[in-house]
Amino acid sequence: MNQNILSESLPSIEDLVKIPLARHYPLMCVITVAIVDLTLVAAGILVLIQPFVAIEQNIRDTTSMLIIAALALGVLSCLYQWFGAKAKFYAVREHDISFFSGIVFRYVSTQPTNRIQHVEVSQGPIERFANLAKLHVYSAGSAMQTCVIPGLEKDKANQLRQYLLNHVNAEQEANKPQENDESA
Amino acid sequence: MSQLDMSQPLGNWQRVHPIALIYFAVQFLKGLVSQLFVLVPVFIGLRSALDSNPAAITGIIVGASTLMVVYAIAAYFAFKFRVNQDSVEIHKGVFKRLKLNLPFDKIQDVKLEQPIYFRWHNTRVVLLDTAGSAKQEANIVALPEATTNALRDQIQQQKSPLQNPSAQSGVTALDTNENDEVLNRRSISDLTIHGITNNRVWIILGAFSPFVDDTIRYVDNHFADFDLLAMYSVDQQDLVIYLAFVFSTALAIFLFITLLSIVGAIITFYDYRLVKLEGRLRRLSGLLTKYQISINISRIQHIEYNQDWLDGLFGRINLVYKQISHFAQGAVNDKSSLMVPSVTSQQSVYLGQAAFPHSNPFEQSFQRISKRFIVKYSALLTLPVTSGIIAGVLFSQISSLQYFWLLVPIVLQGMIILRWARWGVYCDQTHLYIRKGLFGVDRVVCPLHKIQQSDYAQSIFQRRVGLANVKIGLASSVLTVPMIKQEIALNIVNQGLYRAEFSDQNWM
Repeated sequence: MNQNILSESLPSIEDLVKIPLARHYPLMCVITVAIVDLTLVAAGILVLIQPFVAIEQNIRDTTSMLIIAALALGVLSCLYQWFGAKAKFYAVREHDISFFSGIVFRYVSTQPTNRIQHVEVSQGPIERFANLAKLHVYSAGSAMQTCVIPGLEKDKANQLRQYLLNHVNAEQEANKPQENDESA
Repeated sequence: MSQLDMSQPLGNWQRVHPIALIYFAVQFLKGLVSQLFVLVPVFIGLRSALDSNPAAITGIIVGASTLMVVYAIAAYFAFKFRVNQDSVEIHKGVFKRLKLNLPFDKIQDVKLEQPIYFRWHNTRVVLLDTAGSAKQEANIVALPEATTNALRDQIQQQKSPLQNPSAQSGVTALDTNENDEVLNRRSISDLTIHGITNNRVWIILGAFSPFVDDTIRYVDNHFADFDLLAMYSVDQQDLVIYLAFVFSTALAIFLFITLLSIVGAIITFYDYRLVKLEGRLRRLSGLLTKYQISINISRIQHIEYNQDWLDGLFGRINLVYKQISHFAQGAVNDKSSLMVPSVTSQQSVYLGQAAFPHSNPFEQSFQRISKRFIVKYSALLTLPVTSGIIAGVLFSQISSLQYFWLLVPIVLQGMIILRWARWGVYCDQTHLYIRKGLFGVDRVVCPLHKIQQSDYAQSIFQRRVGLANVKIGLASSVLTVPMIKQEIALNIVNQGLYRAEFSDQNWM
């Protein structure tokens, strides 16, 4: 039996209940960018103040300009990271998991749980320090289509991973007798 | 042991038929030709040395031939295989020893090839297609028909989750049986049309244009009596004669490449038969090397009805069945699609529906995308190009020829409008239909329950005017539709997710 369903009565991704990421995730994003940026600025300043090699005036001027540009870009990318992180959410329904992102372009990626091939939790060094983790959800699509949810507290990420794995296993179990029926 | 002993079980290490020596020699030659780009500069560098010493050329040829023979013999003795209870083991490689162990449950498909030099002994190359390892070549060369069948039976006795349980006998046959349902055959005239419509003459001409001057100079040096440079020089000829030369040369090159393309199409697709057999589609074709490619119907993820502008003139369509092309590793394997060349639209619909039932994609009422698409790309492409050209014309010496540059933005704008006109989408409760293209028209059909993932994207500007973009991830590829009405985009995503999550149909 395959009843027609009116599209209005289908569950919509518009009605997803958005769950925010970890509260300190935006701060971690800002700190990550700031570390890279300040390292560049510090390197520039070191070039200017080091006493070992005499530097020509035009190189000094260029370096100073580059330091100012790096600082300005750093401030802009920190702002971008902060608001970008604030715009990220995830949502879990009974049969799929979704991830919201983007400031100007808003994306909603949805991964049905019965198409999941593999789930992974990863942690970079800064994430480990902040006790955060990324959840990678792989489907049979290409690597570009992998759904990655960053900024989850480590326990939460593991909990979600286990939840999804349980779901995948339950669905595989449910499909088994059906496959046997087909091949019989 | 020089020859495969059929009385021996496949469980022992086996060498293949000595005819494989030819196969390895050909492989060596292919390798050499693929390195031609590297070798050409070497020869150019050595040219003066070679000119003064013609014996060196003979030496090089004799050396290369000896190397080829030595390589073929070494490769032959390095190659051995055995079939265990649940896997195939292959040892091969001369310079780099390779030991492959392929479990049966990782083998998606068993493909066959018969190069022309294998026909005398009726031996064939068995290609074991593994899931997700496009780089790993698992070929067993020069197997006699009986051994091929024994190997196939042994692989099929192990039920792989990647193989269709219903696919049984005849999967590896290089010919059709009386019982097989032949869905389509391609005649020589069909293949000639395919050769004409799918020739890449424009690309080839474009790619070689930087070398045209050099070629003329080279030919001129070698045919001193025949003043080519003068023939192609505007200064020394009347414009009419000059144009006639250019036109006739272009026509000659065009005809030659078209002829090559037709020959290519006939070599690849000669005696083309598409056979439906117990849940599989099998393509048999080939003039010199006979190919047999079979795909599992249940694993077809989407169908493409491709029609280039030349196909359009002849009313032909290239139908492509696309199946799973990657398994999470991201390795795209283009061999996993099966094409039926240059069929009519009626035939294409019949063939498409043999894979999965769907409506005629040529009769769908496609929803156009927003006209803002034109505005966006006019602003991104036409506007900067036009400004650049106008600035160039204004700030350089005025000559009437420069105004021809203004044709560029007109053509560009025409292309943007054409691209917009091609885009269309239609989604019913079971299938998604997408139309796109530029000069040609491509139509794509995918069953909604095969969706792996969906992406819904909307910029803040698009939100204001109620537009959105949709990206549908399939195991075969990613389908995108830009700038459609928000409600259509939501309908595609919601309908797709619902079908993927609740349909009792398997996606593979």
